Amino acid sequence: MHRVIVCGEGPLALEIARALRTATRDAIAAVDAAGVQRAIGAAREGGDRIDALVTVPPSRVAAETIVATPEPLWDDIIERHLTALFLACKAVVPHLIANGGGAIVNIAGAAGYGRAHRAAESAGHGGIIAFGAALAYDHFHDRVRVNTIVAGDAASPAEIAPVAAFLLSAEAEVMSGSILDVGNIAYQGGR
Amino acid sequence: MVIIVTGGTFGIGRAISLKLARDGHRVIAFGLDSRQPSSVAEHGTATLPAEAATFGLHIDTLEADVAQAADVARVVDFALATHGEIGGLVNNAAIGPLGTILTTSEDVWRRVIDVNLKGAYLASKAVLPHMISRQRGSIANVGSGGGWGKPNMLAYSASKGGMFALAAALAYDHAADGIRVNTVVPRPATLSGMSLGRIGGDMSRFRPAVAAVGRVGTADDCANVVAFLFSAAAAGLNGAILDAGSLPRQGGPVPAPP
Repeated sequence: MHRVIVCGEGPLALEIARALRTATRDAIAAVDAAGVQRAIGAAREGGDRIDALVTVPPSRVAAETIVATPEPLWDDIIERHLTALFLACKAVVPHLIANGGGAIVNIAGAAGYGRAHRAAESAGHGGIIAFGAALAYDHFHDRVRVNTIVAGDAASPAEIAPVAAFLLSAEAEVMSGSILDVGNIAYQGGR
Repeated sequence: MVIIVTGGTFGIGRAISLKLARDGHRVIAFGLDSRQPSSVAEHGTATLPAEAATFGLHIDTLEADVAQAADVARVVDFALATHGEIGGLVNNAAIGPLGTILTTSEDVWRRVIDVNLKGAYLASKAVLPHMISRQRGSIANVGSGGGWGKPNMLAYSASKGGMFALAAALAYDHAADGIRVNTVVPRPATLSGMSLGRIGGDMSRFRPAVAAVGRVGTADDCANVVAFLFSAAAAGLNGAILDAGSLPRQGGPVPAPP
């Protein structure tokens, strides 16, 4: 049985877990990096291992231009969008390396290409995209595959989840570092 | 689904045709049997059906030039006469002579643009009315990292960059018609008629690239990703680039092995 941790909350995280279970994978829900650590620990105790991680970003926040974004709101958005992702990946990557490889799918929002009136959120999602690319390079030779889904604002969980499942599958096992748009946004964030 | 594969009789196209047939699609593959500039692809229209038969599969092949509208029309007519519909298209046909602007003749430039870019335009234009009438269809392009611009690949880069933009524009124009248009970028140094042709057909000079999963990537890997685009799981993908190259947007470089 392949064990995948799905880190994040909301309808998208639930739909991804459902799609992975359909693909005969055991999906373990985690809310944050501490939950990822606990899932890894529990798997180890049971003599199992974690094969993959999927991270789901927070849902859209009420935010504004740089002028209308106070520093505490910026800190909160970067913490929840980007630092939470860093910590979840930091928890799982050593485990994947020790296993001889694994796969990570990070989901970013289309604001990662830059959107009006979403200054901090754009920076957070853009950071997810660049972070995934860097992670893919760094752990290429560790056989840790890292791919990023950029979800268009109109893309539904039912559209996104099977793509995440595909990226974890053997059919996609030469894919790493890819930045894949779901929804009709053509790698620019527009609609 | 009935799927036409351009340049579908050899190399990466051959792998795509076989994978789609294996997945239960009805495949019509076409290409040219004579050697094209900087390629070792030849005789595919006879060899592919024979190979497919050894797997118990059937693939229809025709000899036709993707750069000629009349040839493309003949393939589309065959597909409609044989199967009554067209649900998918793979724009795979391409040639890849190397060179800078100084070493690329106008003749070579024209042929590269005609096959790689105009071929995708002609084939898409020919199948789209049949997809629009049924309000469904999927077009998969085989792109290249050259589409982001690469050294010594002037004409090829221009053709493949144009293909990215063509696909995005088509995706926007026909999303409301229920048609999805996406592009798969294979790994660099995937063994093919093109990559082997660029080194004069000399296998001893071929340097395959290892993928992040720890083995050499092949045309079959590209075919798996193309085939995904014809599955229900890919319903949310339109106007996307699926980079199967293990290099984000083909930026690179991948660090040296430890």
